[in-house]
Amino acid sequence: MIEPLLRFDSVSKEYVSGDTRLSILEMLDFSVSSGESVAITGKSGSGKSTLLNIAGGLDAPTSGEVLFLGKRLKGMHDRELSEFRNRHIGFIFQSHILLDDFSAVENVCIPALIKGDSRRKVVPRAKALLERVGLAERMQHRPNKLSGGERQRVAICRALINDPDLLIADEPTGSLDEESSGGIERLLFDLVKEQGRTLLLVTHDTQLAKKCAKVHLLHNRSLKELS
Amino acid sequence: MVTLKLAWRYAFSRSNRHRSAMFVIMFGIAVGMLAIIIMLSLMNSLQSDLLDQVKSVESFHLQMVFPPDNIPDLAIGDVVSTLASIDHVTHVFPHVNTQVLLQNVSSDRSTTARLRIIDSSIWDEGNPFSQRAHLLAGTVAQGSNMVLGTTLAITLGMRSVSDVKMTLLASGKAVVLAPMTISVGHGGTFVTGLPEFDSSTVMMDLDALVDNIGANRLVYGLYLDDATVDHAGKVVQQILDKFPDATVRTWQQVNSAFYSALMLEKVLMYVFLFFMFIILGVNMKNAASRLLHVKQRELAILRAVGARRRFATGVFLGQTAIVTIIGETIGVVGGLLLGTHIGAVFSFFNSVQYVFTQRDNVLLSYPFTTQVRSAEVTVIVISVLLLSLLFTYIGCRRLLRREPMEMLYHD
Amino acid sequence: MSTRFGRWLFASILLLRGKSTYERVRLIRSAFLIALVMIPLVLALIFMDGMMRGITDKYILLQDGHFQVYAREEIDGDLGDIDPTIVSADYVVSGYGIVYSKDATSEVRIKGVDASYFNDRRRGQLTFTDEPFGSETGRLASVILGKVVAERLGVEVGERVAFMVVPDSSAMVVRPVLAVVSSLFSSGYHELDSSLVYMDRTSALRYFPKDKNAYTEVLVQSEASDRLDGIASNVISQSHLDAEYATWDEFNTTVYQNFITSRQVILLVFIMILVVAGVYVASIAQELVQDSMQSIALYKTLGARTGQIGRAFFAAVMVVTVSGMAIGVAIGLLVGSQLGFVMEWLGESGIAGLQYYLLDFPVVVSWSDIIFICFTMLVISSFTVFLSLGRIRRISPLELLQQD
Repeated sequence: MIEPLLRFDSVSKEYVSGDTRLSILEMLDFSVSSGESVAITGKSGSGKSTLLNIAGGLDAPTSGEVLFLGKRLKGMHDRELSEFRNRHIGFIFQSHILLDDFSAVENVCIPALIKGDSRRKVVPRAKALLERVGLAERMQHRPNKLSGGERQRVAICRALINDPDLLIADEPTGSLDEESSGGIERLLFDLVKEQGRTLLLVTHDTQLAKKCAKVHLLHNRSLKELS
Repeated sequence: MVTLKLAWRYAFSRSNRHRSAMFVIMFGIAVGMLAIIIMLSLMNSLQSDLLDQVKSVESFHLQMVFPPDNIPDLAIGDVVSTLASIDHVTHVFPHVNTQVLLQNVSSDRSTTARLRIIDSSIWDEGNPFSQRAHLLAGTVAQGSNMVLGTTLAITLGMRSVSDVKMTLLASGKAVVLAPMTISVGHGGTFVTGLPEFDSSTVMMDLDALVDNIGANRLVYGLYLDDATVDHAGKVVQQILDKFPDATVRTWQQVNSAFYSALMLEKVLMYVFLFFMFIILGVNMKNAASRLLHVKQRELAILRAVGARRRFATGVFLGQTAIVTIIGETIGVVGGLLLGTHIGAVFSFFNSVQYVFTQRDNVLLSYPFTTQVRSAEVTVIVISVLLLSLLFTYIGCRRLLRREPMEMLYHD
Repeated sequence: MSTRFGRWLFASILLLRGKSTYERVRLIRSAFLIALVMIPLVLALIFMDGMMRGITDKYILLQDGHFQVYAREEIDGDLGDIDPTIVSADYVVSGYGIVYSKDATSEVRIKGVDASYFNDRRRGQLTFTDEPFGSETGRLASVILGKVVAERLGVEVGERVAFMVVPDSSAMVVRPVLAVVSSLFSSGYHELDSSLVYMDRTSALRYFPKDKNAYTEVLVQSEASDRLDGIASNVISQSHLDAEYATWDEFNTTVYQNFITSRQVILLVFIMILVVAGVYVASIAQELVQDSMQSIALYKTLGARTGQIGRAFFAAVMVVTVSGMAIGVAIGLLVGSQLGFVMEWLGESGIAGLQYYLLDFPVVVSWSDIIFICFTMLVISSFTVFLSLGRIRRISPLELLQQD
């Protein structure tokens, strides 16, 4: 049996505030196989982003195990976890979170620079990605000179620069208008299909979720696969 | 109260990401205050001790002389009585200072010295000189016996029985000054704690030599009560009322160069140490303008619901005042505590450096004491507070002048 | 993970790429404020070291020489042949006495020298009203008084003064000696001007027998001043003299020790100022981190380590600090080299206390002291910045990138 790329084993997450315990996730079991596209849907406040953050190593579960390519994320110290995020995960946030001080191509290069690649190697790769997403003419523009859709495309390129095993997208079209959303959705799934990427997508948009091979509903702290 | 509450929140609330900046500034103020208090209290103590020695031993609190060509026809005792009757004058000692040559026949050593001929009652208890000067051996100078400072005694190789010749300049028959050699006995040895005095001065009784030296070189040294020593203006006036032709000088005037040098050093120390607060002031200015930038939406909303412009100014100045006062309090308390145990602290550092150098450090092994003047500390505390408020105001004034909607639009 | 990202981040922080004018100005202003802290420290060091060196030079050149050889007779030959670092060797006689006029007296040190004593080096330290020993005084001794002594005695050039000199033997009778004031000198240092008198050597030898009072006063080149014991021993052995020697610091232990103590006090004050400056540098680091919090959170999300980020910020802040220090030291040295004008103005100001200080001194740059204060500033700043940058560790990508 092929090991899934990502596996949650009885993962629970709760927050403690004073005497109050707030349970967000409870005994979650799910997995994502390599090359799959998986969507997590649910109402606002259901814990979708918490699940994504745990999957990406940004947060740790209160109990249970998260395994990535068979390796436990719990117990990794900061150095290993940073390397894991840098090399294996590509994040796409709802509000892109680009650095305003740098141009589009420079923003895309950042994860590769963190990895240790030289600018000489990275910049051509970054440019190629930006050309692929239709931003050939906008490479040297700063984020404040780009539209919302263009910024999100830059964010997608940044997520792909290190050739990650898993793309994690948290409401990638959440702050875009309908037209831009459509463009981003198409681009995202085209790239995933083209490059055979694994995608873990969180969205409250059921139409977008249906484009994925699997859809899970996060409800009452537990996950249920929807057919 | 709302202003102060908000000011406190801005300074120390956990949700305020500039809180650490406030703590850093507070720490800087505390360090600055501690440094300034320690340095100035050390300086005060050293200078005060030194000046006290000079006043008590060397120059008296006041000196009165008559012009050589217009000496009143009064006995020395009458002049002394008149001066002693003036308010705040505690003691009067007429004396003459002159240079002499000393030859110790017993040890065959010679040297120059300063002879002070003065009434031997100065050795009686109860005057500033006798409180500092102690006879280590022998008795007070009487008749043709002299007492000399310890260091001078060592230079001359004095023993308890030494045959000493003293050559001094006396009024001559044909000339104003002519050398006169006399034999003197060694009455005793004294120490005053003032090194220059102990290494150069020999004392003899006034009556023994005043006629030889000449009463026209007589100086009347006055001691005053503690409250008047440093503010002797009225006493000087009273003396001049009684002796209009006399010249009266305070100890500050007698030691003007030395006193001026000490004051100069103190002023320079103030300037240097205050420089620290300029640096902190710039820090505060930056912190205030940054915080205002972050809080302008909040302040704009408050303005929109009716708070006055000076409310915002009050909040920021209040924040600065809170941070400064707390910093100053820590600094002052720390400075006072450290000052009380300065000897132990320096001793510790001396021990540490001894490990490396195998020698005592002259500075660190000196028995320092501190003297804190509350007036000085108060002035410094208020000055630092005003400086902080000024810098904060400079940092904020432009933004605070804006209108609420302008600030909201900017955000 | 390599250091490439660290270098890239460091460069982007420092070069302020994409930053607003405010942020650029702020960083430059920070550097200049650090410079402003260094300038008075450097000036104070130059002033203090210059004055101490100046006073030391005065004592060496005018009073004690670098060292004294107690040979009864004048040493034959040129001592420069024995040691090329020897600049001059003058046979002098010295003693103490009291000089008096009709109205006043003054205790003085009397040095019996001949006109050749006032070589170029010594003349650089003195100004004379008349050529030393230039006038004929008959059988009377010719003396050069310090201006302060002359003022105290109320005498001028050409007038007579009387001396009582400390006799060689205690059995000798003290007789007054008459002398003619042939010139007045001013060294610029009150202590010397009020206590030193030069007398022609021939006369001085009459009053101060050479057995106990004569010696050879030797001056060496400045660079050789830390090898005096070696030079003196060499001179004595090469000249086959049965004589002892003493170096200048043995005569002036108190003066020398006071200098050391004063310097230590000043350095202590400097360290306190540098601690506060270090706090300021920490606040620069804090501000940079605060302004970059979202960027730092993103870098962490993308896999950058706290250490990498911290090192980049640390290096950037230290570059600003070092730049400020360098500018401050440079300006301090530049202004310090022009201190002469300020000293001249101070000398004419009439402030009585200044007589205890030497105002006419050479500009001396003590590089060891400057390096010491720069090094101290660096150490303190490094420590405070390191503490400030602990904030980076606490920045959580999660809390800043919260989407839900």
